[in-house]
Order: sequence, then structure tokens, then C-alpha cells
Amino acid sequence: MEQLFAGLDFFATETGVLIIMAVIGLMILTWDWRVALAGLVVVQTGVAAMGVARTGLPAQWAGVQVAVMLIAAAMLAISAVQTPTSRSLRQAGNWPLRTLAVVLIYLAWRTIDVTIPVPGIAPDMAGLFTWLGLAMLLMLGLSDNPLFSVVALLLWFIPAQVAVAGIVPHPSIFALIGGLELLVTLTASYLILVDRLPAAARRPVMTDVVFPDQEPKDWGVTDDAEEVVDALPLPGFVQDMVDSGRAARRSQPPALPAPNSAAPALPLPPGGSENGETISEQTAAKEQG
Amino acid sequence: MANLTAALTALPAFLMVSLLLLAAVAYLFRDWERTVAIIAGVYTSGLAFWFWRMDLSQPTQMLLGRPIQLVAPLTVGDFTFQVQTLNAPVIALGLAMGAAAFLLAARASQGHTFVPLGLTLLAGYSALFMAAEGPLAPTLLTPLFLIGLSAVSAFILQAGRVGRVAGPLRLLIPPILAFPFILVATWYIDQIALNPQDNQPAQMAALFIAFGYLLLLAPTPLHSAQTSSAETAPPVALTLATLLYQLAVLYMLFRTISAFPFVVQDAPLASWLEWAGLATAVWGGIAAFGAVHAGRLWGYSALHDWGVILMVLATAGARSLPLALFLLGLRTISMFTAAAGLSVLEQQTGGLSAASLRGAASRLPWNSAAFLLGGLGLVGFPLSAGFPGHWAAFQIVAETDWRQAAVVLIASGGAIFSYIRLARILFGPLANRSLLRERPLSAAMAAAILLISVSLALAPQLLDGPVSYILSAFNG
Repeated sequence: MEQLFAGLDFFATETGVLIIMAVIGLMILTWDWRVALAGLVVVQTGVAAMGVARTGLPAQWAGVQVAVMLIAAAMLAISAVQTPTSRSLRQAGNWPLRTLAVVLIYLAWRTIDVTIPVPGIAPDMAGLFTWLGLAMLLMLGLSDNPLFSVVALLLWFIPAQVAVAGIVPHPSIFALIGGLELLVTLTASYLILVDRLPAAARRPVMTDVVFPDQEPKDWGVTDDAEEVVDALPLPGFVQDMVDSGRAARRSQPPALPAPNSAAPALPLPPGGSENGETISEQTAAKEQG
Repeated sequence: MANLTAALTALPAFLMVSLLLLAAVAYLFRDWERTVAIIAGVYTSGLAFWFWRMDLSQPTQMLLGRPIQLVAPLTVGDFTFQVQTLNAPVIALGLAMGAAAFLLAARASQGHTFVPLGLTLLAGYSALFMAAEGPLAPTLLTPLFLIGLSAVSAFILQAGRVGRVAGPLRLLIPPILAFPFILVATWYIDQIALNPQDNQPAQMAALFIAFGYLLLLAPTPLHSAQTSSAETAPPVALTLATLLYQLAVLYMLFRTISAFPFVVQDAPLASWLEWAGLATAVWGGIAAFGAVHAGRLWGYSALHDWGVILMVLATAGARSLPLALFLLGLRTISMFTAAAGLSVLEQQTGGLSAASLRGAASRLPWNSAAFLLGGLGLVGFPLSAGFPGHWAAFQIVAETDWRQAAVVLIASGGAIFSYIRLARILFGPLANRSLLRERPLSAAMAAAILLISVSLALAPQLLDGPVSYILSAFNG
């Protein structure tokens, strides 16, 4: 374990701190669950490696911390892949909006130059922890989506656990916090499933994302939810991932009805389609188009 | 085996193991909701009564032919749990809340897993109240306990309902935000002992602890778990989860202040509570004024009431703590009264929106009245259970600053207006002609709850005894 973290000691350098901060920014900008979960593991590994190198965090404890985060990410990924759409139904605006928010928060933080004083933590590390806290607040503020909310809360756990391990070096406290991380993740995994079951998806008006409680009552089910949640294109590599997944699904032949039987037409709830088409009719029209 | 049997005779072990065992059995038979809820209600009410009347000067008491060591500690890992005169009243109050919730759940379903998870919650909160020793002072570990208990609460609030998850999700936020602040304070507390002449560590520790507890108290803008859940969660489940959490935070705050008096001396906790309470009470009233959904209206009324309690806690003087506990007692009565009505209304009409409830009072008059009177009690309407507490609170706040009391009074007026509007909807023309009439047993229970609520409105001194008993726990 010591060797593993010795190999990762570049995270303790200034470049490492910048990499971690950039990963956090990327998680917010892309707002994709795959990027968020991968970023979470990278941030956890980086902060743990930094803790080992800079604060004397035992390598075994750091290893346990990374293992807990890997399990948490796996639990969230399992819930995310079981949902009908690959992206959130409560999307946090589009990527230019999120970019502006990240830049604004970063500039405000650098201008005010506030750093939470944590005993036993070097100022640059405390700065990183403050940035993690700000990113957490931004993610919580951007959306009600359970996956991104729990990612934000897990981001808060990362520096907190390193700081607490230095201040209260007690194994039972460390184990308790790790166990609570898993319990919170389990709860969030359940909430992801009940939130994302076929519920609602319609193109939100840009300004409506600011008032998530005012969802229109006539939201209906569409099977193209992920096409309509973002009004502007995503960054290139994320768009590629989404497009490839979408192409793979479209390449599968639609389930054909038995000969001489009516097509299984799923009626849309009011508002799901302006002209009253059913999902199967929409799909058929798209296939022909 | 002998050691295990001996350990189980300690009261903390008996309490937690019996609750968890009952939870496991209740989970297996969760489809028989009514039966399971009644059994759990009877068992927890028996436990609550036992704790309430417990004489801890006697070391042993026989229960079903077996000796129970009343003050024997239970050690699990680095933690020690013990029943003391300081925590027995609070444990009894928590169990009584659980009993009331389970008995109400026998009338209207609160979800298949409500009873087993509710019993688990009771075991967890009892453990928090009984925590006597730990790797750190138990009061500093409160946020960690609350993270776990909030995670369990999220399941009973969602209750398997597909749809919005904002309420249960936001329940996790305050304790997770708070725990690093309170744990970091331990470092400064250690520094106080190393250098008693230096006052800075005490100030820093006080600031971190005060800020952490302020987050745990979840004033506006951290309040939204309560109001969002009020719209989507089963009402009785929400009442139990909310009241247990708030009781625990208040109790642990007072234990913290008792253990570390510098928290109130070196940090502006009273000032923070005053302004946070004012913001909470005012926002609760304003938002209630705009709420048409019955659940939301109830949630914002409860928020207004919580703000008043925070303001009273901030008030200096010997009267503030008894009054805060009095308000907490009245809050418990009002919330359960409203939840009793709401749960039946929700079950019968299929929702709590204004459209669902139109004219429902013509078929469900007693439950509609219970909801309205319970809700009005939360905003201090005259002749409701909450009125005596709110009136006393306004007087005590007005002694310091009459403008704050006036603003809160106006805010409560907004909520009362909203209840009048909802009463017009409930007692207006019936929209759903197929709505069934309330059953005699359900109506009788609603009438009994109304009677309790009105009795407390007319004779608030009935709460003097219980409040004095609980006060002994809070005073340390």
C-alpha cells in the first residue's frame, strides 16, 4: 500500500493540486454520471495520496478510504445503469451555464481569498479543501438529482475524512465515517432508482431550471429524454459517448408485434405529445424519417 | 453465551436488541401492516410508560421474570451506553412519539416498511440518547449518529413512492455538512487543556461547535427537507422522522452546552439562533401563505413553528428553556393531530392537492377537522393547541424586540389565511362523488385526537408535569 501511494505522490505537488481542482471542475461542466463517478474516484485517490505524503495519514487508512469510494462509485453506477435514461431528468442547465457558474465561483473565491483554517493542514491543501467545499455547494445548488447530490456529499466527505484522521487519529471514528459513506450511498442508490423510474421528461425552458419546483403538470414520458434535456450541445467527448450509446440503441430492431395483431401503442400522458401521438407512432415515424 | 445473556440484562442492551428484533419480525410480516403497526404501537407505548415511571435509584427491576440491570452500562467497541436520570425522560418521549406514530399507521398505511424502519430509528435515537462514552465526547459525535439516522429516515419518507425524491435527499445534507466542523472543534478543545491561559482555542472551538449545531438545527435555508417531504412523504412517517430528529438535536445541543459552557460564552450562538429563527418563522409564514397543496401548507406551518422555537431558545433568561420545551410538546401534539387527519385524507382522496381535496370534508369531516386544527396549532391560532405556547413566545420575544414579535405575528397571519382558504376548499362542493365516508373507528380516533388537542388549548397546564420532567434532562 505504501508503494502504491508513493507512486501517486505527484498529487502532493502543486501540479497534483491543480489536477484535482480541474477534475472537480470537469465533473461539474460535463454533468454526466460516468464522468462524475470516475472523477470522484480520482479526487479521492489524489486527496488520499496527498494526505499520505503531506499529513502523515497512514497508507492503510488511505487505502481503505479509496476502497470505500470505489465501492460507493460502483453502487451508484449500478443504480445509474438500471435507469431508463442515461442522463438526469432534472438536468442542471446546459454546459455553458455550468461553465459560467464554475468560473464565477472560482473568481469570487480567488478574489475574496477565503480559506477554511484546518489544524494540521498546509495552506495550499486547505485551499484545495475549500475549493472542494465550494464545488460541493455548487453541485447541490445546481440540481435536485440524487446522483449528483450524493456525489457532492461524497466530495465533502473526502477532505473531511483526511482532516479528521489527522485531528482525531482514532480507528473507530475513521471506520464509522467510512461506514456512513456507504450508508449514505446506499440511500442515494435507492433514491436514484425511484427518481428515475419512468416518470417525466420534457424539454425544459432554460429559465425554468432555476425554479425546479415549478415543473409543468403535463410532463409526459418520452423515450428520447436524453435528446431533449440539454438545449445546447455537450462538450465533444461526452457528446460522442452519448451519441454512440444512442446509435447502439437505435441499431437494435424494434420489438415487432405478432402478425395480425395491433401494435402495442403506449398512450402518452397529456402533454407528452402535442399532436396526441403514441410512443410507438413517434418511433415508427422516426424510423421512416 | 453466558456473557451474552448477562449483557442482555443491561437495560441499554435490552432496549436496543428488543426494538431491533421486533423490527426484524415486523419486516418479515410487513404485508400485515395494520397488525404489525398495532403490535409495535402497543410495545413501544409500554416501553415509553416504563421509562417514564422508571426509578433509577433501584439497580434492578424484574421484567417478565428476568432481572434487568437498570443502570448497568453496555460497552460496544469504543462506545458505552447507559440509562441515566438525564436521558430516561428523553428516551421515554422518543418512544412515546414512536408509539403514537405506529398507532396512527394502523389507521392509514404509511408504507410497508414504515414500522420496521421506524423501530430501527427508535433504537438508533435511543442509542444516541444513551451514549455515555465514546472515542470522543458523545455530544461531538452527534452529527455522525444523525447522518446514519437520517439515511434510515430517507427510506421511510420515500416509502417506495416513485417520483420526487428531493425531501428525503435533502434530509442528509445538514448532518453531513455539520460533522467536520464539530469534529475539528475537538482539536481546539484539546489545546485548551494544554494552554489554559490562551483563550483563542476556546473561541475557535466554540465557533466551530456553534456553527455545526446551527447547521444541524436546519433553519432556513436548510429547511427544505421538511417542506419537500411534507408534499410527498406519508404524513405520519414525516412527523415521526422530523420530531425525533429535532428532539435529538435540541437535547444534544443542551448536553453540549452543559459539557462545554464556553460554547455560549465565546460564540454568538444566541445571536445566530435569533436571526436564524426569525428567518425561519417568517419564511415559513410567507411560504405557507402561497401554498395551496395541503402537505406543503402543513410543512411550512411546521417550519414557522420551528422558527419560533429557535427564537425562544435564543432569548436569554430562565424562562426560555422551559418555554422551548413547552413549545416542543405542543408542536408534537399539533403535528400528530394534523398528520392523523392528513394521512386519512391522503389515503381516501388519493392526494393532497387542492383538486383532490375539493369538498372532501363533507365525507371526512372529523379527519378534515383534525388536519385543520393541528395545522392551525402550528401557527398559534387561538383555541388550538399551539396558541398558549405561541402567545407566551411572542411575549418573551417582544420583551427583547417588539418588532421581531410583530413580524412573526404577521407571518403567522399569512399561514392562517392559507388554512382558511383550504378550509373553504375542503368544505366546498364535493368534486369526487365516489369518495367514501370515513369509518366510525377512524372518525372516533380523529375525534379523540381533537379532544386531546382542544384540551391542551383550554388547559395548557396539563403539560406542566411532563415538561418539568423533561426539563430535568435538558438542564443537565
